[in-house]
This record gives sequence, C-alpha cells and structure tokens, in this order.
Amino acid sequence: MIAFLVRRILIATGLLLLLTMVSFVVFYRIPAEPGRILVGEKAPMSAVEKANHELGADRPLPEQYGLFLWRLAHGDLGVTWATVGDPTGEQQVRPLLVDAVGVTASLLIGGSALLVMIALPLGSLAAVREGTMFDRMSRTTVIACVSVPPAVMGLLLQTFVGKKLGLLPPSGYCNLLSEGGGSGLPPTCGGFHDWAAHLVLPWLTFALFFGALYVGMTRTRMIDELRQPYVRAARGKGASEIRVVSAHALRNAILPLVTMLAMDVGTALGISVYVETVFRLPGLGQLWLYSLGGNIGGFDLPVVLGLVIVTGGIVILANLAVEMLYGVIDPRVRDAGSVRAHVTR
Amino acid sequence: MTREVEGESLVTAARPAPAPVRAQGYWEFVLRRLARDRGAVAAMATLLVILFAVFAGGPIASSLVGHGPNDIFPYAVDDNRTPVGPLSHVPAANAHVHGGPGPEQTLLVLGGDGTLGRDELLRVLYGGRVSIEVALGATVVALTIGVVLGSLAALAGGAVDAAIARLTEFAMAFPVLLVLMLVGATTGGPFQSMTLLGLLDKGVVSLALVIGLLTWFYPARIVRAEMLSLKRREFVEAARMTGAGRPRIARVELLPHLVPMLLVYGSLIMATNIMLEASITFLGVGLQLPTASWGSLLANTWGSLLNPYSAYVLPADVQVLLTLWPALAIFATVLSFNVLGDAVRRAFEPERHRA
Repeated sequence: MIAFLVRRILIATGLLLLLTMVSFVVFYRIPAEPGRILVGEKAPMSAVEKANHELGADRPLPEQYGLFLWRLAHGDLGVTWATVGDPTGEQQVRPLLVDAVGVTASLLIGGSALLVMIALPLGSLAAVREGTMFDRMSRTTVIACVSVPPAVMGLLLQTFVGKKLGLLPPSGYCNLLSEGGGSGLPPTCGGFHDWAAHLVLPWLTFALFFGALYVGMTRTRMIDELRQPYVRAARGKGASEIRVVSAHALRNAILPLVTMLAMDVGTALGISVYVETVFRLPGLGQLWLYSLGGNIGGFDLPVVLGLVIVTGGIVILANLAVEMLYGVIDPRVRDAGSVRAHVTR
Repeated sequence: MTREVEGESLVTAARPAPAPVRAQGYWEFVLRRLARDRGAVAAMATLLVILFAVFAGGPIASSLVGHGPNDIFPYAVDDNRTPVGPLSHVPAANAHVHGGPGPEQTLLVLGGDGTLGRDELLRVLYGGRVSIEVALGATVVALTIGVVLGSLAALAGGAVDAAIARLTEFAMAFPVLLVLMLVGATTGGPFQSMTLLGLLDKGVVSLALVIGLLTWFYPARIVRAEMLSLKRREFVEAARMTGAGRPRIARVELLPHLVPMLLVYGSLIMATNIMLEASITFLGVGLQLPTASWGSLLANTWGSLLNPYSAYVLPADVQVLLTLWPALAIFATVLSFNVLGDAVRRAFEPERHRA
C-alpha cells in the first residue's frame, strides 16, 4: 500500500510538471506579443521589445522554464506580468490564486452540498416509487434542467430571481471570513450572511446542472441496493421503511456517488467558469479569463502557469484520492485506474 | 369475470390458422421496446423536425421571404437601435440603394436580431445547422478516440493500460481555455477553412476537433469498463478455444457488444456537445465561427459573457425575446437527445431500468 501510494504521488507530480511544460509551450505558440500587457495596444514595436525584455519573455524557452521551476521549488510563483516594474508595487501571483481558490471553493463546495441535498432524497424516493408517476416526473424535470446551458440557466436565474423579483443579489461576491468583496460591492459587505446570499443563485445554477446525473445515479444505485438480500433481512427484522431506505440502502449506495463527485471535479471547474462569469464571482474562472487576455490586457503567463498548477493539481489530486479510497476498501483496485469500472457499472 | 374474458379472447384468437412462431431477434426486441416508449417516440419526432428545419428549412424559408440570414436591414432597427418585433414587414435590404425606403417589403418572422436588424428566424435556422454539425463532428471524434483508447487499455492491460490512464488524467487536467485560446489565436490552422467538399460550414471542423479532443476521456473510461467485463465472458473463451487470434476476437466478438453503449452515450454526448458549442461560443474566448450558431446568437444578444458591455445593451424585453429563440432551440434539441439516450439505455437493459 505504501509503495503504491508513493508511486502514485510521484506520477501525479510528474503529470503536473508535464502539464506546466505543455502549457508553457502552448502559450508561446499563441502569436501574441507578451510585452503589450505593459505598454498597451498601440505602442510602437521598439517599446514592446523593451517590455518583452523586462518580462524576460525574450529569453530562450528552456531558460524561462528552468527559471520557473527554480522559483516553483521555492514556493514562488512570481509576479503578474501586468505589474512588472510597477512603481506602486508588484502583484504576486500566489495571493491572487489564494483569493480565487477561496471563491471557487465556496462555489463548488456549497454547490455540491446543495446537489447532494437535492439528489439523495429525490433519487431515493424515485427508486422507492420506481415506475410511478413521481418517478417519471422527477426524471423528466431533472433531464429538462440539464438541457439548459449553465450560462443561460445562470442568466435566467439572475434576470428573474435576482433582478425582476429582487429576492437575492444578482451578482458579486462577499468574503466569508473578512470584510470586503469583489465586483463593485461596498467594502462593508462580508460575513456569513452576505457571503451565502450572494452565492445562493450560483449554487442553484450549479446544482441544477449536475442534478440530472446524480439523481439518475442515486436512483439506479438505490434500485440495485433495494433488491439486495440484506434489505429483505432488515425489513424482516421489522425496521421501518424509512430506516431501511436511509440507514441501510442509502448508506451502501453513497460511496459510488461520492466517488463520482470527486471525479467530476474537472468538469465542475469548467462549469464554474460560466457560473462565475455570469454572477461576477472573482474566482479561478475569472482569473483564467483575465490571464488569457480577454478584452483588456494581454496574456499573463505567470498567472496562467499558477492556474495550471492549481486547477490541474485539484483534478489530479481528486483522481488520486478516489484511487486511494478504493485502494483501501478494495485491494483489487490497486491496479491503477480501474475505478471507473466500479462506478459506471 | 376476468377469467371469462380471457377465455373468450383465447377462443377468438385461436380461430384463424395459428401464425408460425417466429424467433425474435435482439434488435427487434430493442426496437419494439423503443417504439412503446412514448418519450422516445416524441424525442425522435422532435429531432426529425429539428433536423429537417435546420438543414432544409433554412434555405426554404430563405427563398420564401427572399433574403438570407446575413442580410442587414437598416429599417428593421429604430432610432434607439432596438430591433423590430416578430412578424414585421420592413423595406427590403437593398431598398435604400434606390433612394430611400422603397415599396419592396420583406417579412421578418421573428423580428430583427440586435442592432443590425438581421432576420432572427433565418439566423436561428442556419445557426442550428452549424451547431448540430459541430456537435456531430465532436461526438464522432470523441467516440472514435474513446473506443480506440478504451479498448486498447482494457485488452492490452498492464503498462498500456496504466499509460492510457495517465493520458486520460492529463487530458482531464488540461486547461480547456488555454486550448481554445490557442486554436482561436492561430485561427484554427489549416482546419479553419476546411469544409469537407463544401459539406460543412467554415470553422466547423476546427471547433468540432477541439470539443472532441477535450471530451474523449468520458467515452474512453466507459468503453474500458465495458471491455473489461466483456473480455472475461464465456463466449470470448469459446472463440479463443476455436483458435481465433486477438485482433479477430476484438473485432468480431467484442466490438459489436459496444454498439448499444455507443448509441446511448452517442446520444448523451451529442446533447452535451450542443451545449458545449453554445457555451464556448457564448463565452467568446478564442474560436469565432464566421457564421451564426446558436451560441453566437446568445452572444450577440448579451455581448459575449467574457465582455458583456461591448455590445450595445438592448432593452430588457428585447433581450429576453432574442434569448428565447436560440435558447428554446438549444433546449429542445438537447432535451430530445437526452430523453432519447435515456430511453435507448432502458430499451437495451429493461431489467435494470423498469418504468
């Protein structure tokens, strides 16, 4: 087990480094002039070249990558290109990432919690009432929800619930632990209430989109579990139906669902780009868009690489965690990568 | 009471010469189950209507109203840059060339689109063609890579399996936006102008490739799981005993068993890809299709998500109306593919999914 663990962690680290290397190469394939981020769109070529030199973007690729690795080994992700040589102070990449991770984590963790709160009862009830009107209705509803692009779903919720009805703040983010927020909100905003209020609509968008998958999954697993002999034994013992479903069957059905949740973290990060953009949440998705230039600045390589490490790291770690979990529970899974086989069947 | 009725029906049924009992094939059963599923039939009917509308309906509607999806109608937009509403007659596109609004009138069935006053209906129809072409291409790419790599991982096992597992993880962790940006910035390289003998619209191939290359790991994982369970079955053993080689077993014995799964996931992936096309185009990063698509129609109304204030902000009711058409089209198509995929799954595995 220890050897397996060490080997997988080494592979994961290697994969992450490879990811940064490929990103590095890909980045320089984009025909953009990095220096423009400092001197602006209309600057003459000589100024751009000078800025390139200042950024170190004119050095040979291996040298730049080596420097990046050297800094990374010291836990330093560098300074954003947009503020290199800024007299008012250079912006370090690491605190930017830490803030963004907090926002995205708030979105994803809260959204997943809401998702589980929707999917488990609905899926279990559909399984218990298999083949009834309720089963069909719940399935139709969740399939309809997953058929709306998350961006449109977000815009709809924002326009109607947020703006027309004015029930919840339509956009922006407030910090949970400290005062302050993003996207033009007053500096007094902050604390649990403001934080949660601004996140309800994003959470809902997220949960509604993933709902279909998880309700369906819960239902199928529960139907399988409810046919197992141990369920009959529990009923025979005289356990109430609620207890049979929630304490016996659901407990056994839940592990594959948690696994799926961990494996979908990459997709969830992708979806969060849309949710964050619609609701103006200053998270990883927004940082991605900023670092890739978008409409304003240029391409910001140190931010891009930091993001690659964070998002890639999260996905790889989630995969690793799932494999570890299964490796502990079921030694057969220790041959790498066969977790999906247990989950999808 | 019921017994009598049953007895009666038995008697009446027995009178004509008994039809020869015929063994029903696997596919016959599947098709029959599918035909009995009302949701599946409705979904298929909707899809047929949508396919007809976007592939044949666009040109037909265009010739009926006498203008194309990219024609600009200056008179379809008022002084406040608000487009006209549904069922409006406006002077023809070229009227002003002959000195002011002429008598020629043309009909905008769903009104104008945003500030340019193009025909919204035609744009939804032609845009649907692009969206569906992109989604179909991406699905083919993803399934092809998925089947090849998934089968290879399951059948070869060992180091190959581990290598493919790492490749899958790499693909999952790779930053999607960076790829989009690269392809967009290099205008998709040679693929951007590829139309496969004029069959597809410009830009479709590159966007389909990008989406396919970003999503192949889902089918790959499922194919691998399926293959792992298939290769231990008795019929594979039997084939091996008769002396069939590995390639033959893979081709003749194993791959046909993937067809049900491919139909189910093909349908579900189609649904996801239509959504991905819309979302990616809506986001406005990188790839820009030269023609309308459902995603670009959304972006035209809201400004792209990335840059919402670049577009002139339309009044809220116009915005809602112009979002409604492409959103409805996306919703109907994606919903149909999802319902169909779900129904096909149940038709193949009735014992697992009663209801």
